[in-house]
Amino acid sequence: MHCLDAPCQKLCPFGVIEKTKHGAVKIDENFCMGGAKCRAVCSWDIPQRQAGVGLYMQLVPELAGGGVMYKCDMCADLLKEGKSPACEAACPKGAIEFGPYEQIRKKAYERAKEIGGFIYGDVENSGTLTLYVSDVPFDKIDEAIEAKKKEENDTRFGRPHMKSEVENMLETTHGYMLATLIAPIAGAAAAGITAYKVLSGQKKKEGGEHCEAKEEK
Amino acid sequence: MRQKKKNKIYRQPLPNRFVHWGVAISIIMLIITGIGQMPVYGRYLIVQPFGTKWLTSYEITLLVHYFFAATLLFFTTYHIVYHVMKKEFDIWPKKGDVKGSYLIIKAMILGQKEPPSEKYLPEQRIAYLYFVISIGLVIVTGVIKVIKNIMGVQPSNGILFWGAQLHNLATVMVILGVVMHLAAFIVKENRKLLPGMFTGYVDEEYVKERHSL
Repeated sequence: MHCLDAPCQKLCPFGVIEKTKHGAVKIDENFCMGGAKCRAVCSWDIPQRQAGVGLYMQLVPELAGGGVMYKCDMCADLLKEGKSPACEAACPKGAIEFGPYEQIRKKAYERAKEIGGFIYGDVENSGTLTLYVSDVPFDKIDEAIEAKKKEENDTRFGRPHMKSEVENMLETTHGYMLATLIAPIAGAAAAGITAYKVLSGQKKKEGGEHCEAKEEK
Repeated sequence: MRQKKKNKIYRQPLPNRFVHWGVAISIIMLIITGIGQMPVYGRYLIVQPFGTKWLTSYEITLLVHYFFAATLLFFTTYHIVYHVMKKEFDIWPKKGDVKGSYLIIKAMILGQKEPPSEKYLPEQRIAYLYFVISIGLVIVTGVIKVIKNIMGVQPSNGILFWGAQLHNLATVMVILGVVMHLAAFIVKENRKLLPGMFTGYVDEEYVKERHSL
């Protein structure tokens, strides 16, 4: 998956997940610390720990060979050479197509209409660049995935669901973000009122003392 | 309302204490939850201490982090606006504070009589500047982080990288600042300042002896 508003990219505590010019969400394996926070915030647990890559291999390969986080980067190295991503080239059915987003999106909707099918990935998690087209409803596909996992007692990461209700964590925390940005205004207003009261109290007191001093004279 | 107390001097008015404790609680909670967003608690704690399970949830620590970021912004803005309106700048560093701090620390170590100070000691004014820089950096980078998290906002890769790196650096600076702030109370002479941040009052004798300027 390559989300339009990717929580993994925005919430990485080290800021080492980038978006390539093709829109791919790419983890910089040389800077990733392997904390798996990207996986924690991903609706599909897409980023996975990849053994044998990353920073720790340079530092303590024996102890930290477990590697850092890794995910599909749309074969950024192949795209750089003007080649197709490996999955598109290798798919025996020619079922994977890579291209400019709007073009692919238009094609996906046309294909879905043609087969009376469904699309997955266009609205889920507030939209992704990876679109799936199927004549089987994705709820049914998800049920099948879950049933298979249950049957195999598979609780490991790396086998994403295809649930239709997928919320983006950035959306669920939106209210908190706004509260954070409004807080300084509230602080300034509270300080303004307090300072004004204290200052006017001081003036009144000084005025009173001044009058008393005059009367004494 | 302030009441006169025998042999006591009113050193810290309520707004000062309100800001001090508000900022302190916010910073402590931001450090705890901020570390929770790093690969720490869920990764290295072999035995999870009772009541700390929530710290391993990114979503919960993120929400609590936002909450205390809002309170920190509230108290810091309050602090700036209140003192600017009242034209109170006693704690702002002055020329000669580095030398003044050296003389006071030297006197403390050698057990000599300290040179007299104003309301704030020179090293308190320098420590304040340190906190202005480190908390200022953590706030600026934090606000950038909040804005980039808004749906539809797509910052450049450079902003994401440097925003995170500088936020983390500022966090380390703040942690060191808090440690130094607390370590100041190892020195016996400084302990008489402590009641000021709880009750507002300090001993008159202490003030006459140390803050005679």
